[in-house]
Amino acid sequence: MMGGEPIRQLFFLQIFLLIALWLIFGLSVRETEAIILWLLVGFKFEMSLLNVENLATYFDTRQGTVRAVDGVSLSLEKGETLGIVGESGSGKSVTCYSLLRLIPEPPGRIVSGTAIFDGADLLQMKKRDLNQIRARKISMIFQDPMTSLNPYIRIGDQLIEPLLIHKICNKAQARERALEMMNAVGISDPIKRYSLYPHEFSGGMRQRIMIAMALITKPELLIADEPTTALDVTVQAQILELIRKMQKELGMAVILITHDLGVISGFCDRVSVMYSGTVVEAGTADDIFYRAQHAYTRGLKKSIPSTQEKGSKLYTIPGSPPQPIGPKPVCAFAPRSDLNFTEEEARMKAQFLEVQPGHWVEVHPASVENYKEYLK
Amino acid sequence: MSLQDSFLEIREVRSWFPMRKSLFSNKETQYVKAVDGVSLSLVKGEVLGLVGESGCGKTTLSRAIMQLIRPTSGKIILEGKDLTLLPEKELRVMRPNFQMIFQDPFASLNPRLTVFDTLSEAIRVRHKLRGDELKAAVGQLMIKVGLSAIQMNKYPHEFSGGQRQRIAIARALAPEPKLIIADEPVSALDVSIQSQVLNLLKELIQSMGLTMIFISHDLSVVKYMADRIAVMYLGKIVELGEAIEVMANPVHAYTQALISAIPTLDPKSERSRKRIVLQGDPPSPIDPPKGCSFASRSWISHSPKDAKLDGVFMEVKPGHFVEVHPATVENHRRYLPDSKFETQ
Repeated sequence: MMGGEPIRQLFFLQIFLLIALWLIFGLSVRETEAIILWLLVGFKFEMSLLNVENLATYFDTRQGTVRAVDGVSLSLEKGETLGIVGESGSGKSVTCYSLLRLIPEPPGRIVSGTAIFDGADLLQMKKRDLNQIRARKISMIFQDPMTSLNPYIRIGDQLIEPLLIHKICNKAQARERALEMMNAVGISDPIKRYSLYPHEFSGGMRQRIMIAMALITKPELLIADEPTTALDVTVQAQILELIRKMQKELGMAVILITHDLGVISGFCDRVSVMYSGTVVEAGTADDIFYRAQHAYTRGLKKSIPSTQEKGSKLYTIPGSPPQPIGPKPVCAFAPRSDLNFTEEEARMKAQFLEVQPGHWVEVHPASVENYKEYLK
Repeated sequence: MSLQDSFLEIREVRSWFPMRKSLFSNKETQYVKAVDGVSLSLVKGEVLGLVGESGCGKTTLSRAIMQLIRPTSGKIILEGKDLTLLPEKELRVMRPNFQMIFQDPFASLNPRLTVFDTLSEAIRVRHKLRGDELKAAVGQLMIKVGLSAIQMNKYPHEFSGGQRQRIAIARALAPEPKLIIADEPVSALDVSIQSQVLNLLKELIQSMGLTMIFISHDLSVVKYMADRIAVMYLGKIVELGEAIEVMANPVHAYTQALISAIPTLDPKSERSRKRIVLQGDPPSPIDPPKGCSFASRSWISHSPKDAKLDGVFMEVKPGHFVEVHPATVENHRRYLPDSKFETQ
């Protein structure tokens, strides 16, 4: 949705130009072919690295169908950093797990949507093709470094696994590369540590191993699911700094999932705020941090303790996140909103609108104060 | 502060754990020096924030205060009674006076007990209530922590993380304690839920006149809660002072690094800001290096000889104590004009 329209327009413009060239200058077939090829390459270059449209993932439970992700659209350019922010249960992790089809099916199922990565749809792809992408072009770092490493396997063997599975190099070369990578993520004495077990590492070091493992294949996209939540504040800064450094070196794109807006300010180019399975606000970091429109984004920002005066009562968003079971409400945030709106207004349908170029907000009387400017 | 009006007095507490060597080895036993000589004192109604990285010994210290582990040496004096000298039986009588809130509300509540079971057990420590009276007391307690009394017969898994932490708080309050140790009570919660729980704790401290030790690795949270802040590094207190003073004028390099790690909500300044990122991990507490334990991670230049010497824990301003050492304090001569250190 976002950024899709201009590209399509550009494409038609190019076709039009081509026909014009052919008619006016009478180019030969071979020349026209060359131009078409050039245009196609150009077109592909323009295309975003990842384009997710209208993704929906539901879980069938005894209590009913849980709409964990319900119509999420994202796009990501090469080398760009996207932050996805939301409370637990807002569907931010499920969105990213769906992209790599890591959702257990059943009870989960991907109901609709497309996720175009490098010209192919991740959601429709055969498992065998997807395995070629997993850990090679798209890597993932999980939240809890304590549970995502196998305690029975030596660190070194876990590190080189993606290289061996994808047959990128032989074992000796893989070891070389693993040692290089351990050095790069700041693990001292890698030769000795290569043959240790995960329990001999501290939490910060384990997370660094996870990063080394994710980046060893030099992926084009890194998905980091709360990479710093389980870590100390000082180590958090180290890990974020490290991800940023590696991103610059490899030129990869990063999706960073977090519940803490403070973590991503200054780290992300663009931010999507998720609530109850949908994106409620999306824009550049500056849009979200300086010009946030949605009441939920504003509430999230206000509730961070470091931003508040000592002695005053901390701001909290009233209530708790809704259970996305049952019929879809017109505005999921309405019960928790602190804005004034009438019952009639509450029944209005929320619309996801571009309020400023590149800044999208779900506009509803309960979520945006001056909604009348945007809703006709 | 005289001894009389200190409510809790911790004196030179050490908690060392012996490392098991092989059976026939005749080497000296090594110790994990989790807490290595901590002295603190709290007045009634005070909230002390204890800050430090994981592995610095803050949880061990809190367990030692709670007498969940007996410290290796040192005194813990609560209202004039030395807890370390009390036998188990007498300690049991004292225990309702000091309670603890644990970090992980998913692990610290018994999944097989309803909220009523959990709370009534704690209430009956103090009051021998039964039947409707007990029910009423549980209900009151639940309302106090912002839950509704109807939820009394539910099990922990039916609650969200924030609600579970409220139950854990209610359980800690049930025996009507005077001292509460809160060990990272909000770090397992979402940011938006954190502030709800912090508000609740603050309200309870004020309304019930509780004394609290609030442990966290996040200074931004501690700043909000605490009257005084103690910064711990590798088993020792390295900086101690009024919360406002420590946040505004941190003297120890480690405190400065902790404060610089607090993220802001301003992307522009955040992009240009130079964060102090500490190098490496803290040294192992198993026979830690002699001298200043922070020297290996410090960015302040100092001579290698000085690193082997101990710092001096001294009052740099009234009520503001810092471990002064060439590696921990820039321009240390300001505080120690004629010290033994060779770094100028």
